[in-house]
Amino acid sequence: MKQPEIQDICDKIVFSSFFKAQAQTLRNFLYYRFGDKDVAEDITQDAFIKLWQNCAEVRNPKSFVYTVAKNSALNHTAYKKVVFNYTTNNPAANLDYQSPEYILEEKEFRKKFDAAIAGLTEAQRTALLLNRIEGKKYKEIAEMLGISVKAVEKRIHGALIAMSEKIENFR
Amino acid sequence: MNDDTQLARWLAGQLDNDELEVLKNSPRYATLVRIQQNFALIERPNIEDDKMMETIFKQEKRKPKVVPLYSKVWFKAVAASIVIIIGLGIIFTLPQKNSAPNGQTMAFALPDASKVILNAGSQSHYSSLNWDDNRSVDLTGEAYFEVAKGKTFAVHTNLGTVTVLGTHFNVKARGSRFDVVCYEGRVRVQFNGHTTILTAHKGLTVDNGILTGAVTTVTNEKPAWLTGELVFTKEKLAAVIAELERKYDVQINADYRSNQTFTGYLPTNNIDSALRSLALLYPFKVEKRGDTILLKPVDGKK
Repeated sequence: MKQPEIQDICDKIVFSSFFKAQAQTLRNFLYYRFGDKDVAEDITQDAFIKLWQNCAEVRNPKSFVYTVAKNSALNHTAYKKVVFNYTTNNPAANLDYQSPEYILEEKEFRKKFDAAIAGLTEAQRTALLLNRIEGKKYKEIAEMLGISVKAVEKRIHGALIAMSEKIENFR
Repeated sequence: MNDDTQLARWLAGQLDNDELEVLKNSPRYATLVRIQQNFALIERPNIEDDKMMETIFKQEKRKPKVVPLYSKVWFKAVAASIVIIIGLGIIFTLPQKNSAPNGQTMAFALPDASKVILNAGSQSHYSSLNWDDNRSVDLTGEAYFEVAKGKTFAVHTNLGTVTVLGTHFNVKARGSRFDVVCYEGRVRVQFNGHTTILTAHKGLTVDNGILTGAVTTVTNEKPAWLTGELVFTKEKLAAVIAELERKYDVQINADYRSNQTFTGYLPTNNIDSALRSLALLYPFKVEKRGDTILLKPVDGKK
């Protein structure tokens, strides 16, 4: 990843563009972790506030906000539930006629899917969702979580095994 | 073959054709594909950026801490210290009282590190104000002193006063009997208008204001009672009994009189054997009534 020249994060414009680039991902990462939107937003906001307040002393803003966020996150252990928003722009839906049975079956499957996600460990869940929903590459995830790429792959592999087993056992 | 990362590599499209074929034959492949497809339909959650940004910029940046030199807290702290110092000053100059109850001795240090050991049933008073210029202790009963070298040190009793410069000595003022023994150095003893100097290993006894006998020579380095012994030199029975009462913290009613004085040791670990030893010289019976010990003459003799 190319590192831009160290810009003055105390500059409002620089800060704003950094915020726009990073805040969503950080907040979503926390959301995947805790399944709680409010908690995720609070921690994210708090981390960026701290960045703003200490802007003169911060060398690496991205690692700073993640470090602050992870520290705040230490106080949380509960997992609520990640709620998935399914796109209505389903190409398949437009092309195919969906029988009621199909729609029902889809609903049923998504229930099992949700349950399977909730059954993952926090480590597996965050790695998997960062990749699948945030679209982050394994290398980026490794940086965010502070682990190796291999470790990320192990988590994702483990997540998929666990999910497929859970979904199959539902039948 | 890394079996614990395979599915991650599959998801990322990193499996070669052979590996992929093997996976396709796996029973869970259909479910895996379904999972993959479902993920593709999930939208990335969005947050309202702008509101959060506003809130962030509203926060005040941290200013460097400016510590005022003379803050309210500082003044309070100083005021408190002064009060405490004055308070301690008052406490330290109040008359210091020490006492040893029956059955115990009590050791303490004076402001100049002079040492005092009170025998059972004794009390002392002194004022620490200006101690170095005015070393003076009021004593009731008996105490052993090890006085640090310095200005005059005086022990006042109701029977007489002992003045020293720097020395070890024992003062005993009981009833009408005033005993002083000097173990080291020199002491000046004043009683009833008389003054005598005692040098090391010399002792005197004053009874009813009169010097009894000559100045005696003492061989031990320290008084016997410091090591818990009961030693008597020509002591009247009543005084011996009083000493036993203080040593053992018991009540003894002697319905027995004798003018015979007692010189010698008595055991310090057992009141009964102490009384038996006495009874060898003084024929009395020992009876116990509740917490009180009664000494009765034998056969009605007095």
